[in-house]
Amino acid sequence: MSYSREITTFPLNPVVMGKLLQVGFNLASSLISLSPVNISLSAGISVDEAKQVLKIVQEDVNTCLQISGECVAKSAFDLLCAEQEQEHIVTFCEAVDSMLGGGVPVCKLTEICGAPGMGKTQLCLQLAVDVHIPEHLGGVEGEAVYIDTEGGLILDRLVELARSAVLHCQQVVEASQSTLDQSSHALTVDKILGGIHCFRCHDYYELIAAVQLLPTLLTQNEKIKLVVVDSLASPFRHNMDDMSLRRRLLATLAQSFLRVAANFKTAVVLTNQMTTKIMPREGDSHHIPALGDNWAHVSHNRIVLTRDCSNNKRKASLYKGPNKKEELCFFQITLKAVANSWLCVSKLFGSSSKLELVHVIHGAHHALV
Amino acid sequence: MKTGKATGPDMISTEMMQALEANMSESRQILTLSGSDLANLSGLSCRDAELLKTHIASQLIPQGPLTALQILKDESLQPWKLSTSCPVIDKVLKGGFLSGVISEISGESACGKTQLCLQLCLSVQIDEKNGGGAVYICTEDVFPSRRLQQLIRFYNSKRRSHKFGDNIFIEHVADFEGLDLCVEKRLPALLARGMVKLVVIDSVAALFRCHYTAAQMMERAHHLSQFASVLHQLAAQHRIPVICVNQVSANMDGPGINSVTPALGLTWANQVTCRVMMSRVESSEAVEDQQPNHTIAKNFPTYRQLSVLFAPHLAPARIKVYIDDTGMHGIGAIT
Amino acid sequence: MALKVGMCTAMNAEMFTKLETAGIASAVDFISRDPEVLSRELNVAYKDVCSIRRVLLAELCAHPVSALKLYEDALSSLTILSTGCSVLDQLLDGGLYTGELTELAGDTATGKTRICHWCAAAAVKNDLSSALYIDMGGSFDIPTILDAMAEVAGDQAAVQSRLRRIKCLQVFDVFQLFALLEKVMADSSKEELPSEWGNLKLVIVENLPLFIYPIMGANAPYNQGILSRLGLKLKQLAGSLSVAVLVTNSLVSMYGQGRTDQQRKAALGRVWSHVPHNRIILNRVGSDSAGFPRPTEVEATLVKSSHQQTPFTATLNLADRDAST
Repeated sequence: MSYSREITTFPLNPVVMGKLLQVGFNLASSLISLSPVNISLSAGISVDEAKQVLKIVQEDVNTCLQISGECVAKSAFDLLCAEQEQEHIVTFCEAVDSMLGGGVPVCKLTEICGAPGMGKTQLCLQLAVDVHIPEHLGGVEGEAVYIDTEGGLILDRLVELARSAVLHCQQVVEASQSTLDQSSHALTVDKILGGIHCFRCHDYYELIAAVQLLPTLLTQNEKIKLVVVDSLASPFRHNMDDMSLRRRLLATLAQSFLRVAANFKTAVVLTNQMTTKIMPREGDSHHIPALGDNWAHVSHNRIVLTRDCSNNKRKASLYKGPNKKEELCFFQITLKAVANSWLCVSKLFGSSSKLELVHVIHGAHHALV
Repeated sequence: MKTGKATGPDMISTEMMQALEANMSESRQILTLSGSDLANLSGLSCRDAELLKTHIASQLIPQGPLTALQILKDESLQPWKLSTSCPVIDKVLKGGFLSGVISEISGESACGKTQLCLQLCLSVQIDEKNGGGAVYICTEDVFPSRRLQQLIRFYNSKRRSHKFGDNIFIEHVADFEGLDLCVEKRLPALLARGMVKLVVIDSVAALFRCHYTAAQMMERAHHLSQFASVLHQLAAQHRIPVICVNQVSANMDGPGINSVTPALGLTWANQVTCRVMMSRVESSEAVEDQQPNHTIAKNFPTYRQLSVLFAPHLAPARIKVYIDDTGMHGIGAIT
Repeated sequence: MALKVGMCTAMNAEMFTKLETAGIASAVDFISRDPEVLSRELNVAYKDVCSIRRVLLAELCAHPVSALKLYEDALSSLTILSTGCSVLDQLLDGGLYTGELTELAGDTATGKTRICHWCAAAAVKNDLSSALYIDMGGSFDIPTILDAMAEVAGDQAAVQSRLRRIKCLQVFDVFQLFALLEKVMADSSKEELPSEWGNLKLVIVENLPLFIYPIMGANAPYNQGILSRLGLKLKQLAGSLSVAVLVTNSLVSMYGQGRTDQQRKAALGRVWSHVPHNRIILNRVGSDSAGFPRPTEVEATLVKSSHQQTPFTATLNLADRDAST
């Protein structure tokens, strides 16, 4: 390790750093050979502070990089190999799944945008249930953290979704005539509900607090594979007059989400509202995802849910995706539920509505295909 | 929560907390500081500042996350539902309007929005477990007292020796100053006493639609979201349903010529958790759907239609309703 | 440069220990101290301090170099890395120059990440060179990089070897970034080759604002300090290892002075705007109606360059990088 690194590049306390710089300690090398007492005397800081400084400066670069999980350089080839093992959480909506390459990817950030009533919350609830699907049925067999900022987590609906997921899993097991005794792994409604950890946040302070607690929570519970925030936008759209504060908080949250996604191998799903943008040149307006331009750079996949004007169907389009093919595609979530389909989003909406919605069903579970 | 109480990891000394306290009113504001700012104020290194934040966070959410199962088993953690006193409508709404969030009833004039609101003001008083009084904020018309008295006569039979009229607090506001004063000052004071369990605003559209020109849309959006955030806070804090009546405007992009959409645009729609829309139906068609077992429903003038546009727990649905002197009643689903 | 016993006559073992106890281990430490104060503090002869100082200065100070020498040096070490896109190459006068910092600024979905992938793929075409891809968001995408290597798609061995020479790293804050850059510099300057990073020719840092915004608090001088330190570090990396550095940045609206929000500039402010040698701003062509697929054509404008006249605009196609329009 080279000690010629400037002390300004270390995460030191700014006040202490200022004092050190004043007395000429501008390189790590000038500190490293000294005792804490010496440093404290010459820089006019307390011995404790000097100890702290030494601890940080002496820390090996490797440990610094690894302090929060694996920051080991991987070659693109390693990543290619890992790509094959990439886990996805299925949404059970065929169109959306194929659009995302098999479901919501683990280790990545997925953002769902849409005007109210487009099914953002439904998709989130569905994912929180689907993450529990056992491995032998092709799921990830994990648990979920659900951060609810809008009051959209209604238990009735969750129970409904959980029931149909359980039912479906049973059907799949029966249909496959599996000889294995799966009863011990059998999915139950209680198991699903017990595996959804809910935070109800009323403002952005509570949201930040919840996100701050995520690393601890995920360390304690390794089964958690999904973090849902529904919605990220609403706390930041009330009483946020200070735009630079908003920008900083959002960037900090983005940092935390990315860290959580990478270090704990979880999928992070965030919902965002739509806002009206008025084009000054053309004078007309259209809807764009909220939270501003800087936020737009963060998520890996951005799905925009809209309603098609001509026929009132809902459609999802992948607005931003790393792969160019997907980016250019225009998707429609198919309408009209298949009869006897188990997926509740469609069962519920399809049977009683003329709005002809939404998410169709995967007839057969993809694991069996 | 004051900062002084914070005790926790070793590196957090009382003096440090006092120094922090001098700079901010609430300890939760620490969470919004950047690492270097917090280090500056507290004298910690950036990494310890992160620990301090985690500590504050765990104080802000002391119980940690609850599993859905825990919430399911404990009713006090779930929102309660305000019944409409009509089993058919309740069935569509899966029990009624949710507490803790803003619900919207929109529709053209004279399609029964106010009727439904009055009915809710009465049925909230029947719910003995969660119910209580109601606040009715009028911005458009004068409060329809005669209609209320008519309904009360019918409701008296449901809960005897209860003075329904005495538990409805009526506010008339004519301008923004009045509305802001009412919502930000008087309403919290009233709610704090715990007697009021329902807030109705009839309507939000009137003021916000007429006071702004097209050029002031940004300003309107700002004001609207501020107004909604106060309502959100009250709804969540007191666990009450907030019902807002909204007008409709013509929908340019929608199918059909007569299609309408709730007014106030996306800014308001983003604030609403449940959206219900009412409309009138041509009466000739409606008579055919009349069911024999509805004996009361003889002299209804017009059928109305109640549709659920969106709600996190509801499917979009439409039912026919009629209004008579005992209130609004549903007939059955429109397929 | 570290101080050593016997560098000059005055630098004996006794002097060395004395200096060490005072925390002076490198030449920079020594020179940055006032000689009078130093001699008093350490109780050594002023004459000795001065003589060591003279020797160090003579050895370390920058000598004027003739332009011819510079030119020869440049010829020997300079490499121009293709971006893998003919339009961009033309825009940048050949491609990414080693020793220079190039910035791509653009709104979301304007192809910044894709262009980075192209550059990475093009940089490892040469059998000896390697690339490092640093990013917070884990935006490195295998299908895109394979796509960028389409010309050798059939040759498994070639693809593998190229992929192996692209290293990817996720770092989550600016201090980790500093630590990493330091490590890369230290490892690569070691004698034994090849180091972990191979023969590094290209370093890509994705989405720089995401590293910077979280530390943007009330303490403006400190933040600007970190930002300009980061700029220096990246330039130092580019210069000392002779690598090309490519960073991506976002755009912000310009407020005030009666501007409309149509005019946008690269983020991170004035301090940063002086850092990159070359800056390209990417814009989607055509109307940008959200939620709908847009044309794949992107307008690239060179707004700052050390070789070309600016502004210089070209249009490239994200779907087909070889197509020139």
